[in-house]
Amino acid sequence: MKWIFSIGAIFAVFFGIISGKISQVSTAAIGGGTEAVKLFLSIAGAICFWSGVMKVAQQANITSMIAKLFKPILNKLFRNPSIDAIEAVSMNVSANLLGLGNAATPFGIDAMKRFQKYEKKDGYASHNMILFCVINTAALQIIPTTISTIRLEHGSAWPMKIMLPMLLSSLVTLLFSIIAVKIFAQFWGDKNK
Amino acid sequence: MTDYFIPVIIAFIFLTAIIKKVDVFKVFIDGAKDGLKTAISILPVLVGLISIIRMLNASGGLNYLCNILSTFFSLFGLPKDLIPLALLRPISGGGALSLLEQVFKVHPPDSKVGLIASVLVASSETTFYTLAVYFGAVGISKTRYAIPAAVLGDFIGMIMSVLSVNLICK
Repeated sequence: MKWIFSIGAIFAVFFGIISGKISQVSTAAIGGGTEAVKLFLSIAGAICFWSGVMKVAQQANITSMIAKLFKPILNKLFRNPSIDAIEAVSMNVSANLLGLGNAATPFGIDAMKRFQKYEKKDGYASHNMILFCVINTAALQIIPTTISTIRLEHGSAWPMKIMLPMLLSSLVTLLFSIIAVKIFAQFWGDKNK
Repeated sequence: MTDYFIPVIIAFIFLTAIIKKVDVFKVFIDGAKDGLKTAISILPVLVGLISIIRMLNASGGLNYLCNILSTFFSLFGLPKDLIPLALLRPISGGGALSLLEQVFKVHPPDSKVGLIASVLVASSETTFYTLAVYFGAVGISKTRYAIPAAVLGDFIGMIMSVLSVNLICK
């Protein structure tokens, strides 16, 4: 991450100079923070709200019921996950499946924190954390809410036509991503856990 | 139908909680407080990431990268007009959605290219944002093989969106 971050910045400045767009780069560097805060404001409310709902669900034992559903498969995928990590991962996966991105994020962050709680805190990402993040980036969902709305707005006669190909595409992607993580885990040099 | 999802889920959770005698409002406020802490912890990550992406975009460097990679991507059957979309998707969610609308102006949503574009956006994530937020929230900067594995996944997702539309939507 640190490499992408610093190379990105240096590349932008370098490219801005040779393409004569350095003034735009300067504006972007200053304005980026404002845009980030705007994005933060637009998602912060949803994160607070869903964290509140999640806590209610926890106290009502709903999350542990959902966790039971996912437990067999998650136990196989992850390496010795703790039960509270499984709970957060299950909630994150169910929110993602329903296309509730804003609800999924706080659950996901919770899952990361719970993985970290039981693992070495040496600043390195653990196998479980990486696997969890990569599963999230494969974006498995059942109902493509946002995209079908945009399709409808642009005159699609059948906005949900993409449902089957989307499912097929993200299922295969998910499968390959998990395999990729498992293979990388075997061969990645620096720390073998 | 999907309009019912969120309200029904919320009603179900609250109703169950009341039956089980949970102090719903107090617990909700507690959770929302934790949520606020979470949200604040990802703000610095957002500032860093969005600034860099905006700088890259303004410098013309992102466009340049698109051009270099376009010949490579067209080898995998991705229509030329969708290459910028495929490249932007892992970086910026809002950017990808506005590009998708641009694509729809040229290729209607029910045309083949329009369908591939829809599947491409729906079946992938804002990879770098997700990784930055999740690892940022636990303060981890050494992400090891997370980025290679996730980027490989995005690449497979791109190929699969072309394949699956060709396979299912004749």
